[in-house]
Amino acid sequence: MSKFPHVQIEHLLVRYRTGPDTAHTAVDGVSVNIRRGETIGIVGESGCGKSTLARTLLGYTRPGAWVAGGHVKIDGANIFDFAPSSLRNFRGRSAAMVPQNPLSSLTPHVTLGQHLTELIAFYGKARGREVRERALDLMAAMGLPEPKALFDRYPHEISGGQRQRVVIAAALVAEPPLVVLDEPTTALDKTVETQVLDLVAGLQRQHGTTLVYVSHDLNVVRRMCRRVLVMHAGKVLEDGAIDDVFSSPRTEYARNLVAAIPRLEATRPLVSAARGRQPRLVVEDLDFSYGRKRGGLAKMLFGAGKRPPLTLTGIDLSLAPGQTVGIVGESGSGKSTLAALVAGLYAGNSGRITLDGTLLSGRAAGRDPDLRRRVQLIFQDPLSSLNPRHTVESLISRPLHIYRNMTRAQARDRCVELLAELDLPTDILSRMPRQLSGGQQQRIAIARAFAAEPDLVLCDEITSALDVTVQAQVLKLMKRLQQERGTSYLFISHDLPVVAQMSDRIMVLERGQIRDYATTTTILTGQTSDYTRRLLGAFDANRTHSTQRTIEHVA
Amino acid sequence: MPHILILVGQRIAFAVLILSLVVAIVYAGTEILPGDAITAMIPQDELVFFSEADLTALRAEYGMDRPAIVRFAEMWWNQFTFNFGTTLAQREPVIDRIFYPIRNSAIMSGVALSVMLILVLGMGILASLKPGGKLDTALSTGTLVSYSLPDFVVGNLFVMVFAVWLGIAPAVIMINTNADALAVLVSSFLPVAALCVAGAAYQFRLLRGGMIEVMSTDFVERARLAGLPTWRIALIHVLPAAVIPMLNGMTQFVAGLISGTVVIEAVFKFPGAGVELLRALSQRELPTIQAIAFLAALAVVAANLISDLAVIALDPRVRRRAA
Amino acid sequence: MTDIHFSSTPSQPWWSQLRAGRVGRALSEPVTLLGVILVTIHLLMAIFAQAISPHSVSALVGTPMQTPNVEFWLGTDQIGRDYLSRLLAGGQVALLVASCGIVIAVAVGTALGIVAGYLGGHTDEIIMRGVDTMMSVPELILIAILTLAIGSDLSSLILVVAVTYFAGVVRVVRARTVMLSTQDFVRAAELRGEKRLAIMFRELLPNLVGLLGIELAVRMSSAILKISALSFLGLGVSQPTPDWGLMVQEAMGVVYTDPWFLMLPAAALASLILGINFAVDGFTRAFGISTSEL
Repeated sequence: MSKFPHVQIEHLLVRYRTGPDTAHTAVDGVSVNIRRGETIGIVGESGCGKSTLARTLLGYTRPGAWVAGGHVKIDGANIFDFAPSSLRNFRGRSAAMVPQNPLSSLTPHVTLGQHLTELIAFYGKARGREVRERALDLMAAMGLPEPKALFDRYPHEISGGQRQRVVIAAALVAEPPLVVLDEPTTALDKTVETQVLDLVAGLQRQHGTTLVYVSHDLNVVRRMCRRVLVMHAGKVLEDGAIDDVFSSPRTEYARNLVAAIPRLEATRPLVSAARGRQPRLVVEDLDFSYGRKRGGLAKMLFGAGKRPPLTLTGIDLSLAPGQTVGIVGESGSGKSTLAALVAGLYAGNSGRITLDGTLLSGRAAGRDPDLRRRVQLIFQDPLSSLNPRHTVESLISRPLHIYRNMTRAQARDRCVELLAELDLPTDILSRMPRQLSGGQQQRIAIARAFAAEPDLVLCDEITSALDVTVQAQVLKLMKRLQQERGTSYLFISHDLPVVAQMSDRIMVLERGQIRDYATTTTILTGQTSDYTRRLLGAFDANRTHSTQRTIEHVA
Repeated sequence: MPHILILVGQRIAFAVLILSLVVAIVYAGTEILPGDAITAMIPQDELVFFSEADLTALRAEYGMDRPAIVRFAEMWWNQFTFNFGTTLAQREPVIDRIFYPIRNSAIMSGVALSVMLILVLGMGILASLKPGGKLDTALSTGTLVSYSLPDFVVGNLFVMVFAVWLGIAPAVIMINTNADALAVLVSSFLPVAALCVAGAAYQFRLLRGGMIEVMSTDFVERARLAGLPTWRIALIHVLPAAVIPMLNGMTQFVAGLISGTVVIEAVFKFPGAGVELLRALSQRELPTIQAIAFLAALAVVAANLISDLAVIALDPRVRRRAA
Repeated sequence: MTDIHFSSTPSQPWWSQLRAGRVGRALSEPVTLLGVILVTIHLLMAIFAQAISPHSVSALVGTPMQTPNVEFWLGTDQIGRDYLSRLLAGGQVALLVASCGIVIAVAVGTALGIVAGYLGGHTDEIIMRGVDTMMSVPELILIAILTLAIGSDLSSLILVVAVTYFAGVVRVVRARTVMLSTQDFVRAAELRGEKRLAIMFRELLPNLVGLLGIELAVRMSSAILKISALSFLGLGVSQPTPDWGLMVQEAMGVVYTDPWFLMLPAAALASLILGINFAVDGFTRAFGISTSEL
């Protein structure tokens, strides 16, 4: 068998049905050979066909897709020629997949233990009592704490990182020689991602598994793999040793992709911080908790209402005109809650929030209209923050009507101006959000915020849903708007390099408390708390140039 | 797990609350709206023979001269204790009059319910194994047609085919109201078949929709990629999640079944609660109408309670939410 | 990226946009098209029945129980009325009552559903307990009790239909509103200081339009069925008004000798319901609305 490469993909063509007689070519004539024991990454932006390609390695296409040409050979045999029964024997035993989303990849009504015992029994790895023993061993090997206690729990009862460990355990039940990972850590926090990646890298070295790692994140791929494929529009543009692709990309697309990756470095001049201007936004000794909605009898009759408290404690912050403070933290750190309080989505905090000396308190509806105008919030997902049933014109002109009493005609003119200022085509006024690209949608959301001519813009993960090249354009736009207008930004993200690029000062939050609050340079040079250093390490490890070194460092 | 008990207690409290409101609706519909129950009870052409004094006497006799709220409270208590009073015309206990019809209807709709559930689960699983395949298309189109056929049309169609053309069954069911349970069961065959034509179709569409939705989830894709066989995925990973929308629609299902039973009983002259209700409606026999409406709502609320508990058993997340 | 597809840009005339859009996609399926055609025929028939029918619907125009002949194309009924004329007009009352009743039910149900779903809290609890209650009484029994209370003339029947059906609409609209309310565009409107009423009608309502169209049609077909069943049971439309449910009931006595008297109104009613359901099914799929929401 060893005369064949482990995986041979030849002229592979995969199409998706998009309508009664329309189709989209997702994988367009890809040819790749993968050696046994190789670690190979597939990177590209959303819709480039990387996940579709990865799934074909298990002889699988999603409903509506089909292989229109070429073949995939594993150990020399074309898996699309397999009979259904031998394909089932192949999957899981000869090749396994760790899917994208650990949160939704486990069956909600099946216990964690059953997920594993089902497969152990099905692959014939053990019988009777041994099945349970084997499942517990596997859970222990994945670094899951107290396997016996977790065995009877349901997926929603454990954390995202633990769920991903169970998913990986399920994939490794039959110790397959080929493992395909499709964005396995995208939904996880950065520090958790590091742990999961360490686990996978360790297992790979232990078993000499062939590893195919699909991700939009070049840094993660760089850490896990020696070789990389860069995909765009269904084609493989680059195929080579990862360091070569990074240092000297052959195609312009790959050059742009590499250039768009946010670097972990301070880009803002320190001068602006030193200017002795009056602060615009001041937050003093802020505490907040989500109160329980109901208690006693009402709770018994109507249920408990909202989830229990998630707190912010002792937050102090000051932001000068034209400056940016970045807020970094993992999920549950309270970073979005802080923005929501300043914006007026929630009320009931203690402490003070002031804008140019005026108290910002309570919900937005109760605030002075001009105060509402001066503080604008931009949300993470434009598909959610833009009403899908409103046109671009009606979306942008609403704040113009409300805050500036413009007539329809005036508002329309101003809309056109704003579109031009934000590098958007001006003929999209009558379009609906879903008819625009992701980057255009987020620009519309930004235009809507700036239509109010705000003094303070709260940016809540505004680039997290975007591809890396689009992210770079949006960040550039935000910087330009700030320079032109002297607007202050509160820039919230889980992505430390992005925040570093945008901010004069950075606040690191963990479970509602400030871990560090200092200038960007101070944070990046690691003169900080342990937590921040660990967070920095999670991003910094990705920057390490050699794969080998990373793995040694981890071991 | 005490919070499960709280959850169950909560659902039972809701059931009682809803039944109370049903009593209020029936009360409003039958006792207060136009005039009062006495004038409603007496046919228009006989009403002229009653003097105002006669009517007042009758009202006093039935306690209808008391304030509305008192009468409502009394009615509420009587309904909840299954004390349905006596019929207005014959002065016999309502419970005696409706006991056998209710039993007969319960046998018929119970059988219909069981047959439907088996049919629905079988067809739903088969259709969802290959969405868009021949079997799925045939079942989906077929159920869309059968679900569009009015109950009374299906019933009459069966009468025409089996009684008029084939001559293998009587056109109307000729058993006594208090016949042996087995005889009732045997004679329920055609009515049950007629009920299933429309009832099973709608439930099938719900289950198929649910199955197909769950089939496209990440966890099913993971199971497929692990090489598990399709039938195993369908039974263990998909079905428990897919029946939840069906169970949530149980109220409407049982309510629809009861509506359908009334019609089908009328077609086949089946001696059940539906025919009894129609008779009571035409005679304006209020205590009987109230009793049957209350018991029908009780059946719906009970079915809903059972399906709620089934959802709790099937979905660990609901159990968690109650904590 | 080699996409093979038609594109529709807003500069094209509306009819070609329509053809390329979801409506066009739905109509390109034969079953959906059949449904739309059936519904159209029935609507035209109901509107112009009196104009095109050869005889009066209620007058005794001939000897009873004639077989089809030149003057009475489908013969006469038990008391000598023209059967064809009665058949043509037999859907009028059910259609009229169902459309008026359901429009009211959808309007009221939508308003309550949006309020319950958006405001939440105790308002939601109170509205939804009421809805649960209405839905716990089997429709037919509820309709019967209501007709007993307020009568069975045209306007009463409309009211009865509206009362019977609004609860189901509330439930569906509320579920969708709760889902929509978690979207950030609602948060954005709240931050702009929009009034609650503006949020409900300017932001939420436009997102319910597709769902409401489907709701309207689904409830219509159900209401037509229930009204016909009611007439069949002798509780709804009464003589001499022509009505398919009533005609089926009359025909049951002569089913051994003249089965066509039963078959024709039954087929007319079934084809109307079938038409609505075929059309709804096609549009539901084209607009990507899950059947479990209905």
